[in-house]
Amino acid sequence: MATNISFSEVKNNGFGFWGVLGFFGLLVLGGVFAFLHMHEGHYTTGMNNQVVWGIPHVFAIFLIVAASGAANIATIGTVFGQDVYKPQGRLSLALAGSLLFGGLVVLLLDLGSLGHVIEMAKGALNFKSIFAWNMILYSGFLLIITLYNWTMMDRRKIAKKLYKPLGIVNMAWRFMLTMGTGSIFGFLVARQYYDAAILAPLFIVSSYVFGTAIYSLVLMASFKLTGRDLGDIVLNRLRNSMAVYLILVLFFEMTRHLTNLYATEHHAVEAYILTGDSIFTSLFWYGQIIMGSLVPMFLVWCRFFENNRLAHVTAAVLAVIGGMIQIYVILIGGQSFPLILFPNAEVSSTFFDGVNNAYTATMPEYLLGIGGVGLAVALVIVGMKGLRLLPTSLADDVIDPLNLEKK
Amino acid sequence: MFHKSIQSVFLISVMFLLGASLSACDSNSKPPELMKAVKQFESDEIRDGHIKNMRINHMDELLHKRDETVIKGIRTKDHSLKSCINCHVPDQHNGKVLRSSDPEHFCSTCHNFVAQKLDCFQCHVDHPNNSKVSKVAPSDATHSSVKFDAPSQKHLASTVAEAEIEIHNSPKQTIGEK
Amino acid sequence: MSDINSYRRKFLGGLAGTAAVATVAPGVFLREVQAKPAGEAVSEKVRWGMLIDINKLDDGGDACIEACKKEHGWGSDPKSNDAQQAQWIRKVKVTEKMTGHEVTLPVMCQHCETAPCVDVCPTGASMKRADGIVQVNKHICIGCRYCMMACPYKARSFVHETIVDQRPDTPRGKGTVESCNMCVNRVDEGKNPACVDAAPQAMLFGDLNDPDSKISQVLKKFGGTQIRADLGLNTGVRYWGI
Repeated sequence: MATNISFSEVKNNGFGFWGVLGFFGLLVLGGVFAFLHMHEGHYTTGMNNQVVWGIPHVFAIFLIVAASGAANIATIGTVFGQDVYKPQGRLSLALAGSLLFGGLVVLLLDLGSLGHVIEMAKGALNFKSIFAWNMILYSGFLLIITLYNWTMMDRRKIAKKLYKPLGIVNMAWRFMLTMGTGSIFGFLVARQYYDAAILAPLFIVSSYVFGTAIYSLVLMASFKLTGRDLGDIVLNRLRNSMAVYLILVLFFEMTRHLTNLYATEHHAVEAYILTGDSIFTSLFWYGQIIMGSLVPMFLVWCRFFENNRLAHVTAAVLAVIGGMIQIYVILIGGQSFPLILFPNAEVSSTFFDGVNNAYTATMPEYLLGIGGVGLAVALVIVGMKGLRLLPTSLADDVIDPLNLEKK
Repeated sequence: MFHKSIQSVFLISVMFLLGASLSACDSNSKPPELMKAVKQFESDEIRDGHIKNMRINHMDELLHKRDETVIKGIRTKDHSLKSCINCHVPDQHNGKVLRSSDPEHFCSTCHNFVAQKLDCFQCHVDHPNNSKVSKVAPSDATHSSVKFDAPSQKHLASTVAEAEIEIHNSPKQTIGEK
Repeated sequence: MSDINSYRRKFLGGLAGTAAVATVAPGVFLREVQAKPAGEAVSEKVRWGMLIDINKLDDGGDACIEACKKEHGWGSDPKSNDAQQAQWIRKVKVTEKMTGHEVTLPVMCQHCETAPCVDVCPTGASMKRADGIVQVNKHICIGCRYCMMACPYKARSFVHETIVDQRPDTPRGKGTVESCNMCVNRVDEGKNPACVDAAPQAMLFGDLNDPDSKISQVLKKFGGTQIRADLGLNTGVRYWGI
């Protein structure tokens, strides 16, 4: 593509750079400590036989879903021909890979019998399980974005020829990967809050929100800290698309809940989440809908905040927090509501049948999840330092020619 | 130039440290003596054959036989980890139960020496636990007198009888005119 | 009213007749299938199943639970809290909201024909043996707990701490998932599961594939209810009285 944008490694070497990297390195250390502590057994966590997946999984699923969405920036450039996004492809893919890796490490380290993963690598894989498919999808994704990034960075003809095909493969693979992640829950026939095909596309649109928000934050932070120019054209595209994705999420959530509300079978769980006394109700309405979706949309689209970077940052941060809350409500809320063995009956037992399960995460769980975030960011920082991922400038006058090119 | 001499100093010190650490390898050391088995084979020949086979094959055998047992339900004596334990681990050693965390445990002797973690005893018991076993015995005596042939008649009969009383007592019903 | 009377007569008469025909002769064990030879693999020819008549369980299943605990050694893991404690079988009290009718029944792994836990396990550790017993192959279980999310009956438990002094016939370990395995170690020796032996007046164990087995005969005559039959899992554990 005709562009005069050049790329360079991060050249900062002072305390600022090493301090930031060191901070995220400390988070990683916290995660390692948490893993060693949990190695004693999961009795040290708040997870139990009722709520089997907890805070580490909230973080892991969030990171994995965000990873898919972060790669979308590159896709819009490659597959949809929007030239403004093309120079941003390298950072987008590096961020996607780091987020995915961070999420996978959290998942792996939470496993009860990590050593037996070697058995899996030796060939014990059950292909009826979406989990098994996800493992292939996640590893394949890392491979594809590495190759795709190569086509962007290498100037040879072969690389340029493979640029668009790999971009298309990446997009298709991302769809399968995110649908696979949503299907982890969608395929659970027994749980009242899951067992719905709509969870797959819901995760796809959510991935666009999380990915775009995190990408915007990383872009703004890295350009600010390395003294590079970042113009409003690029940022406006990012903020407007994030708001549109938020509308899509609201649409899918509305479809999901309205459909559930029609079926008597699901009335109890919907009442529990949407109108109950539990924390999930407040988290859903105040956390996900208002703070995580409506406020960011307002901050993006209200004319008063036009071109306002602080508003953009706030909107992105709120969208990220709202996204984590969304995953929390789906994951923990869905497990909190009891399994219905006997409809229209009150049930009780020593195994917590018939009660709404409580869950309080312990510190090791938070440390592990945050450690994954730290790992993801640390990897991106190392990547930008060692590789030419960041454009030297994304100022308006540099980007403008690309913006006007209407293909 | 200064830069290059820093490099060579670094390389030499690393190599020195590595070389020095080789002294920790004692070429004359042998693994400690294995604890004597609780039960002995009938002949020395069988025993030697068993030792030779196990030395070479025990891991492959374990990996293969565990699948045969768990997946296919094959439970012969030579597929049983329990029988290995019953032979090689005494009930008590020096007055207390011998566990795989003790260095004298039969399996731990070699595994500690080569520093390879034992995974088996995460799940399998590492000593003969017979003293604690109080298995639920099949209750043969009760079986012969048990009549499991129909749903509880008492329940059904009382329900139907009570229903009949209700119908009898209540005002005109159209049930019988169906 | 006369219709009610004649209906009642026919019904009770039929019951009595069946009782006469199906009474077990004294001295004959209820377990008819001989134990397979130790060296022989299990096969699909047999499908093990269980029938529980909850009206004949005066204690709601307490004796069964104690027997299971004694046989397999679960229930008192010291470091796990109440919510983390493994429960292979539990007593569930069910009160129907509209009628107020109350029943108590023991619930354990239902050994479904198409078990969701088997479908979702990424490694194949959660498996169904050829003879229908659903179990966890802990050698390859990675402890991801997906099967626990998938099970409609909440049959599975995760081991939250290091276990020592396991029962020799029931390996249990930290970081793996476990559940009722229909006492597979006893079944392979030709015995009944421990819970069945603890409450022989209320529980029956046998081969569902054999039309002449006791369990097949009574199930054919009187049916047997599945919990969550709507899921279409064709469970191997059936109930009378729910």
